[in-house]
Amino acid sequence: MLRLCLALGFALLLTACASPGGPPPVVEESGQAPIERDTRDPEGSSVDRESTDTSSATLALVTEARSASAARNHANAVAYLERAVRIEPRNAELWIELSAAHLKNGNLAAANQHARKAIALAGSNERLGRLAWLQLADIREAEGSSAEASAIRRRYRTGEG
Amino acid sequence: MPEYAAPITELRPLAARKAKSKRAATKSAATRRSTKNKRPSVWLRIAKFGALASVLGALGVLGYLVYLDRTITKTFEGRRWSVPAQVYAQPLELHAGASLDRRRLQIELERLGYQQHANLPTPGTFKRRGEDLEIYLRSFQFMERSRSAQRITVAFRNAHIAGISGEAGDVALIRLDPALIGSFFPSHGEDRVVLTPEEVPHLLVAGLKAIEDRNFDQHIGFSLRGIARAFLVNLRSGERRQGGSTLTQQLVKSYFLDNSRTIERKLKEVAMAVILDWRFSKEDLLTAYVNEIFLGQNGARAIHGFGLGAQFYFNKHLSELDPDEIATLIAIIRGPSFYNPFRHPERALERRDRILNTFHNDGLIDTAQLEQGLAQPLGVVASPTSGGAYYPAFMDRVRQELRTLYDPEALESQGLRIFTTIKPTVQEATQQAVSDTLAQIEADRRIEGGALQAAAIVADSQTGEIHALVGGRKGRVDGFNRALNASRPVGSLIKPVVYLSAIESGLHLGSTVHDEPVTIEPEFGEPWTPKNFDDEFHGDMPMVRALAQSLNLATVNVGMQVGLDLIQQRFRTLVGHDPDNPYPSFLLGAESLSPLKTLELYGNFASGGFRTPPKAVIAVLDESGRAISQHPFALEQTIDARHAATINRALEIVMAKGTGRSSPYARQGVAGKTGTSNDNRDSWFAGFDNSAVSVVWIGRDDNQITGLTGASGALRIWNAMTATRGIDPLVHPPSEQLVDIEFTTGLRARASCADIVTVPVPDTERLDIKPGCGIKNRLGNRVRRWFGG
Repeated sequence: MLRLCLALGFALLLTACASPGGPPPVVEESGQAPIERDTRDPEGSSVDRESTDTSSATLALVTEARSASAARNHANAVAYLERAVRIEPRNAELWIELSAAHLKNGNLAAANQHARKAIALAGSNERLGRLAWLQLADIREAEGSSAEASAIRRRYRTGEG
Repeated sequence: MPEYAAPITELRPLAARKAKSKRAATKSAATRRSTKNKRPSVWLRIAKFGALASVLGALGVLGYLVYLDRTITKTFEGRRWSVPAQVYAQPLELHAGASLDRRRLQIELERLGYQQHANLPTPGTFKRRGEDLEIYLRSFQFMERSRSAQRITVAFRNAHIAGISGEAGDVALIRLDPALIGSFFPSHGEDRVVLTPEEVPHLLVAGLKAIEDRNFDQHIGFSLRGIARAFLVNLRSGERRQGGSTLTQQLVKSYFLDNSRTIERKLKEVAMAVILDWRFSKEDLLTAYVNEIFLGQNGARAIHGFGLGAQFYFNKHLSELDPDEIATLIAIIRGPSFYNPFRHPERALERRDRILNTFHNDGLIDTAQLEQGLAQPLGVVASPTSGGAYYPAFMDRVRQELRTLYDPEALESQGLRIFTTIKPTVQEATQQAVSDTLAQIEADRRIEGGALQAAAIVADSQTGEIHALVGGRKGRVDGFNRALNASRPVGSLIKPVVYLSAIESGLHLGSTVHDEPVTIEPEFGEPWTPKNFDDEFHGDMPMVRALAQSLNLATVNVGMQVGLDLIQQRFRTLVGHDPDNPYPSFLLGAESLSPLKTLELYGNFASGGFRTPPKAVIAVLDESGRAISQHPFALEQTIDARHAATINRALEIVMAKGTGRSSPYARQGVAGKTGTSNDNRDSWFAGFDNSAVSVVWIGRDDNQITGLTGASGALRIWNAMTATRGIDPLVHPPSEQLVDIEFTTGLRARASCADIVTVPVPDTERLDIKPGCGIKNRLGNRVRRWFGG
């Protein structure tokens, strides 16, 4: 419960910081890109949710990684995310992001194994488990196993609400 | 001339020698022809001979000079442009919530050579303000981005970082600069910090000229005036205060000349110096000198260059040195052992003061600086990290990884920067634990001091990144690296592979196994009758106890039931290679692995079922900061998550109730396994908690008996390692159908009536119940069992 509250606190803090006027928390460099909340469809994004366990430090790295990805600098995206994993090695959300970065970089084998790692770490956390499985579905799709991808999606999208 | 005439002939390039013999042949033909005509006068013959000899001599000298030119130019270019590959440790990450108190951060900063200073005047300084630390971070080019120098304030609460603020507000995350742990100098294998001309402080440049070579900017590489002055100074003082060598000559000497004082060597040195001076700019030469000159010895490691010298003697970057420190380094040049500031501080201090006075007389420093400098003690530091951290065993692994990825030439490209996984504090604590514990064990057991050797490795349990790698009891000595290269029988460390295969074949931790005599008749060779460590038979028991108490007979029985082939196949997927031993003795660990391979084996369990080969290199960047290669986490699922969780519970019970129970940390949430090879030659321990996996080995280099078991040897080192690291207790993934069973019998029981362990069992109702524990089974199941359901 305490963790949840802390996470919620961080999320709120980040929202506040990202709004105009507030000083943005930054990684390394003063004046670097401020952290922005991801506004994509939550299905495509695993972090930045209220129930996240991800700390503001690793969240900052995830944001950096997404910017790097957007700029097609996939190697850097992986570097940022691995740095985040070094800080929180058991955070399934980070492994999902890492899997997605490898997928974008065309490294399917790594993407696959990282998604499996995320599934293993998600354990009984249904939300994380679902996101990790859906990530694996994307990879299976890219690997050419559309049927398996569809089956996974059918099974794990149902709980989405 | 005769003294050096011989070497000229010897050294003359082959082409020149051929030319000579050709000419000689022509000459003799001519002579023959002329003899036929008329006899020339004696004088004419002498003159002709003299002319010919001069021509030949001149050609010889020219050829020799060409040869010298090629040699010295090639060496100079090679060294000047082969900026070494710099190798960095993992930087410390600072962020709110990180478990780090002010004292420890201060230690980390001091290790990196940050100085306490009231005003934070330059990068590389810090100060305490109340409970906070203010740090002026140095700039650094990281893998993903470069960071400029900046001031931050770190606040602490309850031994954690409470928050970090920077010049533009809160900072979510920031790194200290990583420690430089070494460099590969491909062309000459030495280690140094190479500086560009811009990085050499002005005072050092001017000071070197003032002290070592006043005419540097004017002379041609060699200076008669310098020699004359040195002669006069030495004559006047009655001792050898000045050398007549120019900086260029000293550079040549340091490149490849020995210290013999022959005229031949001296002339060669002068010739090379003149050639260098003619070919290269003064600035290039001075920079090369600053990077090259010998400044002392640290054990087996030579300290070359001012960059490394500044680190070694002052634990500072060269750019951060004060005038008195620069003067001390210049003082050392003249005689690194005579003026060794650790061994002969009074001599070094006297010479430093003389140099400071010269600086002042030459107007390089003002009077205030002179007085301040003279008032300073020598200030050399003898910390274990001075000279930069130096971890040869880990560096071996870095080289090994790089070798598999690049050909040596690629590594010789300039100025590569290699980012690695090592955590210097973990490395040093691990080395300390190994060295201290071995000495204790030897003392306790009256083993001859120094007879035992050991290896230890610590890695991140999820990513396989190596945080520490210890290859022997002495950390700073290059030598046989046992962590990588000592391949020894792992003994009982193999058993989890046997039990994993059993679980995958449908058994569970509560399944009854039989610790009773067994003899295996192989198709070829002698029958094999293994024994238990205590030479007893323990009868029927639950599988978890057989593993926890490391019972050999039960393990062989289980193994033969499951099938040796299947188990060997399993081994292959877990470590990535075939076992060497195809016989049933494999089941008891008659299979040799290096400590690093053993770590890889246990990484499968520690990571919850993923093979994560240990790795040391994160990325290699070229001079411009571009990643020329990146080594992302490599992992491969090898064990179903449920089965991995089951084995990990069993390995936790090994610690709590089995062979690991003597550890003070046995019940704090760690999993592990002891191993002992035949006749107690090798003592092993492999263990992990939620964040780190480690392997420790103790044995003797001559493979003689140590008398140690896994628990009485390697586990003690692991205890010492854990004492400084602490435990991050294992978190179990949710497991269905956990049940309490009696440890000795495997009967369902309760803590109130038996010594129990909690294990996952797929069909709990099938377990027998310990009478008197008040557990009722459901009738239906009983009926089913009566009928063999």
